[in-house]
Amino acid sequence: MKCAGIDIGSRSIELIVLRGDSVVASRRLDATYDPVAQCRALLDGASYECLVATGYGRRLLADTLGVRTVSEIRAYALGARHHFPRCRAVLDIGGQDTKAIALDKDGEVGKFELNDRCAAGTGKFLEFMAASFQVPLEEFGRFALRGSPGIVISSMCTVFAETEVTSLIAQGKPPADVALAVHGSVINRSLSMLRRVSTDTPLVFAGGVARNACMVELLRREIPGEVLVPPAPEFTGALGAALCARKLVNQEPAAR
Amino acid sequence: MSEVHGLRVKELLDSKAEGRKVIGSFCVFVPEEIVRAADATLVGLCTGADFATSEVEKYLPRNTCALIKSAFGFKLGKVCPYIEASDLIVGENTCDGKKKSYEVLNRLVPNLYVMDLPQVKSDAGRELLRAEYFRFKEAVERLTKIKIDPPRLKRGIGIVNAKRRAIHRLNELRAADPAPISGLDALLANQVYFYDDPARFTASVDKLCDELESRVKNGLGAVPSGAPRILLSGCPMAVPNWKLPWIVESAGAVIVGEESCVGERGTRNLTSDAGDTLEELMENIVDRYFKIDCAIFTPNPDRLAHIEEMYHRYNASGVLHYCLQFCQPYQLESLPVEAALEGKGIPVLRIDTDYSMEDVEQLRTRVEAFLERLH
Repeated sequence: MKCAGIDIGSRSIELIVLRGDSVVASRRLDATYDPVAQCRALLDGASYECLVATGYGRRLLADTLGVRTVSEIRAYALGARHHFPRCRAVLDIGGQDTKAIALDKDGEVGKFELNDRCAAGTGKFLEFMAASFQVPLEEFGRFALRGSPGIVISSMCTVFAETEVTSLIAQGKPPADVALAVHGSVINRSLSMLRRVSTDTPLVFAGGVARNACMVELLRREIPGEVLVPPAPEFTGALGAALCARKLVNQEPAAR
Repeated sequence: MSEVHGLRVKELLDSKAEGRKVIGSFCVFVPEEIVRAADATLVGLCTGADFATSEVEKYLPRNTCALIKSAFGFKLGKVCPYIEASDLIVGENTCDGKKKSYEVLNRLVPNLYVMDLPQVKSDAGRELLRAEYFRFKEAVERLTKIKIDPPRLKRGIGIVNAKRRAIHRLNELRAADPAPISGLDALLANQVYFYDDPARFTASVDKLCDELESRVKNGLGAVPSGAPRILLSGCPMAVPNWKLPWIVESAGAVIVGEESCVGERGTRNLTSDAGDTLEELMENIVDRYFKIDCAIFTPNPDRLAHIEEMYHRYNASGVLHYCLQFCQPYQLESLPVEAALEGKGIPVLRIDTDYSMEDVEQLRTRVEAFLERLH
């Protein structure tokens, strides 16, 4: 029996199909301006008995295709726990939001925090900054890791932070140092959310931003315990939704 | 609801034509008993929706809470029939935002009266409230040209207690599982409390309660039994601020109580009518209002105790702590309240928002995740 999960985020849409515990399909597309069409393209040809949607656009699919939904928070908790059954907290930094989630010893969601309406401290912020450094997003983390610490970006706003970066560059600061400071500002923001919900470890770092080597490195420096990054971290939500679909099929009272 | 902004306004204008005065208020610290004693009408002024925001920001900083901005927007747009009908507008020194904004409002309206309020529950604090209530009584007497004597004050106390009793009865019924009434409907009753004719309000709520009693007897609910039961706590929700309750209830939960000025913080505790002298009755009024556990008080331990007590009394499954952005008193209380409740195993979700609809989906995500946590 196959169960599928789809995570409709602001930047991208991920699909996971599970048979038992193994992933038999994983696909990803940009969300674009027509996420429903993208979802249909992603689901085209995929076979499954049950599908659960999560992410910012979950209701789009619930309304058009009648699929069940689960919040991103629970989906990330399930996905993270699947990879790392002992984990006690999840930090997810995605395209436009950041989540910090505490888990109890059984993996149940406890306190959680989401960032406010603005994109500062999210993947979008890093994308925006990478563009202003003229560095490809995939390279931005490694570029920043070459920098030396000492600079602090204080602005909480994406637009103002860019102004701050521009003036630091104009002062002749090495670009890698400034890029490191940009990553540091995202880490500080994420840590303040995380510390409000939990200081327990192991911590799972998930979401697309967990592919950024500098973010992982800075987080490991700040967190005293284990920091674990799942394989394909951007698929954690879709995986959680698929696990939720499996629970639904098995009639476990975990999904609604 | 249509009557809140239609028939009720006509009634007020008719009563004004007969010489009765209308007093507008922004706060549950304004003692309605004194207003009723002088045959005047107390109405809550409009503060629950964004209006003329760009105009408002000529007078107030952008980072002022939505409630204060809304009051100004309604005034500047001349769209609150109640403020336009008011013979006296009572401001009160609660939070910094309100007390400083009244200095600005004073330039926009001809009839603002500002009541000072204590911020500490001490003897000196009580003495201040007492002095201010006597000063208010005199202001009402001057406005209405009616001398408030003990029988009048006793009658005022009776009128206001009656509507509080009706709301208390409604509250008790909400403790049933399944909840016989949605939180949105109950909130509306709490909102109309500030507008309607008190005798009619009391009668309507009693009639509603008769119906709810039979629903409870027959096990009929606004939601199925077992739906998550949410206690709202925090800033007041004035008409038409229904955003958050609507999100909560459209996600399958039911709100069973409001620890709020538009809710139990505002309506709990009756005023004793014991005593025959004006002094005694005024002391009773001071006693009753001095118990209000508004976050402008420091420290404010009674509020936490009340949230906990309500959580148990309404068989709630979680507490949704609601703050308006830039409302310092409630925002500052929210973290310690959350920590204290979570420490006792009571799940809490903190939400900061305003009156705009732009964050509905973000709020929905948080609320749905919170409800999943309660299952």
